[in-house]
Amino acid sequence: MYVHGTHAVSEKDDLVTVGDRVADALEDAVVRGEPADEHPPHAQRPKHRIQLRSLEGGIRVAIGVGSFRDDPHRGRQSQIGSKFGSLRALDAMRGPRAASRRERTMVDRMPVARRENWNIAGRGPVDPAVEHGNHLVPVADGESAAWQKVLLHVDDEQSVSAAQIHGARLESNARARKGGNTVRGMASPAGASHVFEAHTAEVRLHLWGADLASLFEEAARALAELMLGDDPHGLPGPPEPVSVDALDRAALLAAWINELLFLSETKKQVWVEARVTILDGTHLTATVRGVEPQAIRTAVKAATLHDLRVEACASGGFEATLVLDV
Amino acid sequence: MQSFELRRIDDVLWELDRTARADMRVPVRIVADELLVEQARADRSLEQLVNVATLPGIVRFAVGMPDMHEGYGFPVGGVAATSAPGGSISPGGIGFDINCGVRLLATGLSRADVGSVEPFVHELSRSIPTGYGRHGRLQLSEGELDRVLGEGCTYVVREKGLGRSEDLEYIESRGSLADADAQSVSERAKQRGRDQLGTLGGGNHFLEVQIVDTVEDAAAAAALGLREGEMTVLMHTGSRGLGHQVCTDSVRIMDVAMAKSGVVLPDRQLACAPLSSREGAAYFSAMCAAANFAWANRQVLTHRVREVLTRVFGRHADARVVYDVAHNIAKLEHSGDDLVCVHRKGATRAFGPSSPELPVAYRGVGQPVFVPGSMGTASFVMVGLDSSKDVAFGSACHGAGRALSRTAAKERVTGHVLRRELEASGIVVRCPSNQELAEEAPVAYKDVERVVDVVARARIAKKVARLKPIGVLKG
Repeated sequence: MYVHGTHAVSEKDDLVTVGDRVADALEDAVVRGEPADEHPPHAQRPKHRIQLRSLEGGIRVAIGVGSFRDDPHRGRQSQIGSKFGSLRALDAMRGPRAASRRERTMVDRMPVARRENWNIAGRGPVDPAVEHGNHLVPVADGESAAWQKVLLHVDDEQSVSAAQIHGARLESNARARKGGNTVRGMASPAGASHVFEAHTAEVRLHLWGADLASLFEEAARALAELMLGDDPHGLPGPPEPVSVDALDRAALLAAWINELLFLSETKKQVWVEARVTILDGTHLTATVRGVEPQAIRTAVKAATLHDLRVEACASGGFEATLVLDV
Repeated sequence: MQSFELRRIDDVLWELDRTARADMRVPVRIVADELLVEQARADRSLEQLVNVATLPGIVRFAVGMPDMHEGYGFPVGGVAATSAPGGSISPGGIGFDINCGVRLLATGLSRADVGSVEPFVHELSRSIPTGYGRHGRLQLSEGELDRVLGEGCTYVVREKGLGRSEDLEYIESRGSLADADAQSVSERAKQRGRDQLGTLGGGNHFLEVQIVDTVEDAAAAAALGLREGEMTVLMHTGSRGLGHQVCTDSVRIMDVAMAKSGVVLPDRQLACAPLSSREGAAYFSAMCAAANFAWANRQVLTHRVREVLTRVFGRHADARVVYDVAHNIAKLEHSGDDLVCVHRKGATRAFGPSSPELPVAYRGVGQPVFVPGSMGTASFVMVGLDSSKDVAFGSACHGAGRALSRTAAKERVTGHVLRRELEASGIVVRCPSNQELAEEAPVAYKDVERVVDVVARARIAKKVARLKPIGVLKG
């Protein structure tokens, strides 16, 4: 995880600005032969701990997202120290305003740039290898870190009230359009992902799914992300049934999104969960669960038929392109 | 992206011959200077205009305005005319936001009368619902909604008391298209629109408070009733979810109809049907109904602005409608002796002084054309010229036109920094989202002064006045 630095957060929308400055990483990182953890515990509640990546050599980087006020193991510890030493390996851990020869552990004030490493096997906090300079990742290590963006929502008492993980996994046959610029994606179940590509006035969405059902579910997730942005939201409400039919598979994708938009506007909800239950070439049924948004970040008018395609991938699964009028 | 060779045929007029691609039925023209031509080449807008040139029944040429940019199907800033009734009508040539348009109000108040504009903008933000899906205070019964769809501003003014009869004369088509049929509008569209009358909406919709900064044509300005230093209000909004649903429904129906008839177009979003067909006629009457809804929407917003004016500036404060133009619409008009269906997608009508459709006060002057700049930049009032009929089927641009994607804009501009810069330059800003602010930043748009200059050089319209923003309300 790479932390750019600290920023005063005085407005809710500044979180978006801060988040946008954190580098988006779009590659699946394989660090020294170990794959990225594909199923990190979902962290919406402050007390969950998230293991993002495993690194070689027994060093685990665990990002604990907690409310200092509420965590019984930590209380109000103040562990502030400075460490002088030789140049550290790049991208192991960096604190805010870190000089090349100085590292700082910052605990108990926000934004938290670094904390003690945790042994998530449950042995409790142990002397972190980093603080003692025992990490052995060489400076010249050519492997890149596994990048993900962790957006922390901080309340007035400097507690983390929510966390969101963002990272896009692209299939190996993904390509950016000329002049396109991937923005960000939302963590999705294995086998599904999406990216938003730039368009002068509209939004182009590129989707992947292990099968058609997951592709359509991913489309719903992407729509919710576009409409809500990074705003935290409450728990989804009761399920709503949806039924859509269309001329062909591609038109069905556009019709599915347009149905979600119709339901959003008439029921004043954004559909954050979707389960496509039956799918054949021209008909689907689904259940969706929504939240009442505080605000709509991007108003989507409709899914268009422009550049619309749904195709089977040679390597398995499906991919699709869809342009949204915003 | 295919490269096209444009041939200059006039000062700011370029043409691509119909032989450039085998499926073109007519040539393509763009109104642009050299820089705007290069900007058009930078995205797919030119290719999209070439696609438009394949529409069945298209006549003379497909034309791109100086603010043209890539859209979906039609480019934004595109104009095409098809023969009526045998030629096609394409919902994509109007867009999802049917009759998205602009209305300018003149208040008669000078800058000195106004003092600080902050209370006025604040009261506007409290009185006018903005944002996606937010309901307005006007709740319509099913019967009332059908009357709005069928009669537009006429119903809203005469039976709901939300305006004055003299307002109607200064609205394009008097804010009511006779071909509208409320029964052509689906129940789903009506569900979406029922609580949205009198709302601004989100995205690039806005309400801007301005001062007439410069008068370029004193006689035309006097005819339009605009004085230097006068406060004006410009609103930009459309048919909201109702219009979106009408277009969604119609594109879907026509897509199916085309598949059955075996018609193939280079872009599926150009789905069309003959105007005389069941599908074409149904869409046209639904589109007219949605257009009436949009005009009624702007009429209700006008009423709200008047209420706020009296609340803030006293009971004698008022707002007069200078004009109201649509920039996403299809109209049946004459091109020479032929009846045509003119599709304007991000383009406005720009009739000249001799047009009998103008308000009496504007005959001999020209139809007002509004070219809003981006947030924080100037907007322009122009009047159409008779020669616009030959250049672009009586059409002008609708704004500065986007130059950057929303993503690119947000990368270059920080929302809260832009907010501070606008406020530092004396512009009161009411926009809840810094992200939306960044997306609509001036850097995201083409140079409006250049666009207006090209429109004038093309003899489509002439400049009348330059408006400077002092307050902006965004959804």
